[in-house]
Amino acid sequence: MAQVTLRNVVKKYDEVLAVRGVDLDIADKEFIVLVGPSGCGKSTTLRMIAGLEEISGGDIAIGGNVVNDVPPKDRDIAMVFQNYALYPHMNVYENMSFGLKLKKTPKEEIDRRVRQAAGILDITELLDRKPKQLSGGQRQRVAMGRAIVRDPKVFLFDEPLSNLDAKLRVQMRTEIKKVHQKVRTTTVYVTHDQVEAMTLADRVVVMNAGLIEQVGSPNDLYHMPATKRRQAPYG
Amino acid sequence: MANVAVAAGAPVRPLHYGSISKSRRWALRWSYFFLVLFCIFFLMPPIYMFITSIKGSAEISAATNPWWVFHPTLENYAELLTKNEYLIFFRNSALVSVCVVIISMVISVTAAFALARMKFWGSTALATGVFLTYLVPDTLLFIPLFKMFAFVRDTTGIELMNHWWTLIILYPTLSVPFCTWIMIGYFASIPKELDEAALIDGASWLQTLTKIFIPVALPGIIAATIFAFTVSWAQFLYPLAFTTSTDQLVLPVGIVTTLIKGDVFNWGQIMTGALLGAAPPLIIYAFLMDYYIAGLTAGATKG
Amino acid sequence: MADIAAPNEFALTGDRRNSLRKLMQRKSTVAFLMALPLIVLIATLVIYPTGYAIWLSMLNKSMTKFVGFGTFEFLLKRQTFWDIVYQSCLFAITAVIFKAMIGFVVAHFVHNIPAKGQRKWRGMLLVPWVIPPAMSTLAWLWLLDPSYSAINWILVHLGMSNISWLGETGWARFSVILVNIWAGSPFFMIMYLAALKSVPDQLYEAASIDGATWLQRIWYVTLPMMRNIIAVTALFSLIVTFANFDIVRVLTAGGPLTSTQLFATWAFKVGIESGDIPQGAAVSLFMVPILAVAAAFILRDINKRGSEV
Repeated sequence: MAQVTLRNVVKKYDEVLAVRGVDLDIADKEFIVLVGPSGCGKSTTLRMIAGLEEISGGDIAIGGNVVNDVPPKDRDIAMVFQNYALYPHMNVYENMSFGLKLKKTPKEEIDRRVRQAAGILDITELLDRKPKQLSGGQRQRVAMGRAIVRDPKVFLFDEPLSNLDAKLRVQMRTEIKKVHQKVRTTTVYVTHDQVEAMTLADRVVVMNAGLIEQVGSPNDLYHMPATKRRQAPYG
Repeated sequence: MANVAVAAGAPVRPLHYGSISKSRRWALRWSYFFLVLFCIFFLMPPIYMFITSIKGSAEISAATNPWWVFHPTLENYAELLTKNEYLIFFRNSALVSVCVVIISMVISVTAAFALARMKFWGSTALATGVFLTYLVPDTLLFIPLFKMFAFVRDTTGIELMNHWWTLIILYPTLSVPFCTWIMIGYFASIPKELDEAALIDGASWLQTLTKIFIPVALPGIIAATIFAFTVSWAQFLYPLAFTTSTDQLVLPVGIVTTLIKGDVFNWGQIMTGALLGAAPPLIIYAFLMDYYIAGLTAGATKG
Repeated sequence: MADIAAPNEFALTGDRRNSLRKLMQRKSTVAFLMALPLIVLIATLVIYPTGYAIWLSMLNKSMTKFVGFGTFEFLLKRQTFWDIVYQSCLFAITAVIFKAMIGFVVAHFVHNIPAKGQRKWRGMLLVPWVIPPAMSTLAWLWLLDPSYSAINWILVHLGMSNISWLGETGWARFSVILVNIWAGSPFFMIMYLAALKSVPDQLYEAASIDGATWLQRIWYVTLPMMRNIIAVTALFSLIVTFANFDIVRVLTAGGPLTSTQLFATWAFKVGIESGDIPQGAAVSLFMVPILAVAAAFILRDINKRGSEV
């Protein structure tokens, strides 16, 4: 079971509280989106789930185990970065198989998983190419492929579509949704784009100034926004 | 429909392109002219070294045109390469340089990785300190080092003077600061997200260094290696101060001291020796010129 | 709102704060260990000797007793010493100025020609810098030899008389500076070329439209944009040139008499050849104030550049 639970999670940078006590239960296989203005703490929360930031207070549990002190590689998560973070000196195949190679997975297993992920994302012809030979959309798909190959408990997306132009963004949104329906892995997705949140999420978590303002399905949020500000974009 | 009537026989306006390209052409001609002049100035000494090296000693002392070779001969090369001394110099230089390069690169790369990526107490101070060390000249340090070696001899019995391998300990002080500086620049330019991706993929710090950073920063590593080699190969002061017996000398000192016996300068051999001594850096330069230059400019512009 | 889960769902991890701190410590200890060889190297072979040099300079000749600043006073009273100060400054300042000018001019020429050809010209022009200084100075020694100088041969053929390049004080100083300029200009050329390429073409185009001649373009566009790199390179070269040893040692060995001695070569002569270590240490320490001032300026300029960008 891959549910994620956040219990009173706090993040402090020196004297500044970036995340001020977040409580959240994410169900297994759920696609949850953290949305909010810059600086609201959504990325920080995501990175704490990933293990890239130390947790200043509170607990995070993945699949029922508290992971506060567990390093990222042992948390069974995979992350898709805003800037893709593809290794420039490796081709697509090597990029996707790097994590498995480090774990000393047998070659046939690696090959099977990489080709399966490549099939899902439609990037099989790109396996030999280096990142610099790929377009933005293709790189994004490779980044997702890298995540899928790990077969993790949780997918973490950190504003993955912000670097793409508007048309590509819409295209990739549907891709991500399709992938989620195929792979059915718990997903935590961070964005500042409200439309993106509404189209992708099973549930939306609205954050502001380090706290959760509202949690609910896109439908609920649309009809019963918690604050005046939420009302404005939806008219 | 345009109703422009062109009167037959109207004067055609001359195109203006001509005047621009003319001044540009003259600028090019002057540029090439001066470049050739400067090339003559810069390349004249090495070319003259070569010319002299293929002259026999009779021709050298004759009053003929020194810029031309009337009777080319390889006797200088033959004698130099069969005389034991020169080959020993070459061997010493090669051993010292290779060892120093390996030591320098290991120290620099690990230190640069730590300084560029892992923040620890005093890391910024250390980085500035490294740069400052590069500015401390060897001409300041050789005297106290001289005494320090004597001290080591008196206390531990290890004789550091007059051994070519002592240079392996000393030379890194000349190459490590700059190499570290270069590598910090290259490492710092690698996006942080790459580290994080590697961390999530399960790489330890060492694996991140070897499988990600080093391959991505390879141009910097090549440039730093070339720099370390060139500096070691060309070093003159330390070996002059610390090695005296012929079999312990490295190339620069060997040529200068042994081939100049008293008042008799065997110029043919000296020039041959100097040319062969300059050959390794020149060959590396010829093949890896871009990395060479990258290393140079990296230090100053990457700050 | 999310349901509050039962507390026994969580496995207790013991003292979380302590293990967190240990994790932090581990990363910075690893980092420190990785930087340790560097620190040890610098501490034992650079910092310690520098301090030791200061100590040595304050001992008497046989290094038996402490004489404080006695050696320094002694040096300051000697005419030879002031000659060396003068010679070192003359050497360093003249050489750097010419190296900078030649480097600047040549960089412009290389920049002017089409990009395809630049590489091979750049390659040829950098050769003096690649050759080990000791070797190239030998070549110059031969070129300027009192009896066989090939350059004198040309002069004589053009109707002029022989010049005693290394035998006469004036000419000897000229020769030493010349060789340094020959070996060092390519470095300036490369640095300036890189800087020239980073000046946006549009600035020149705007200046042309404003009516500037090529000289004005250089003065009002190129030089200001390159001011930082010019300063850093010059200061850097000043330090290295000031501490130069190889060229003088091989070319003139400090002669004729002591007219081409620099701090470094004099320190070597006095400290190692004559065996007066304290005096040698004192002489080389005189370089420090000037080097320190130049280094301070460099650091300030590098930091300034960082904030400009």
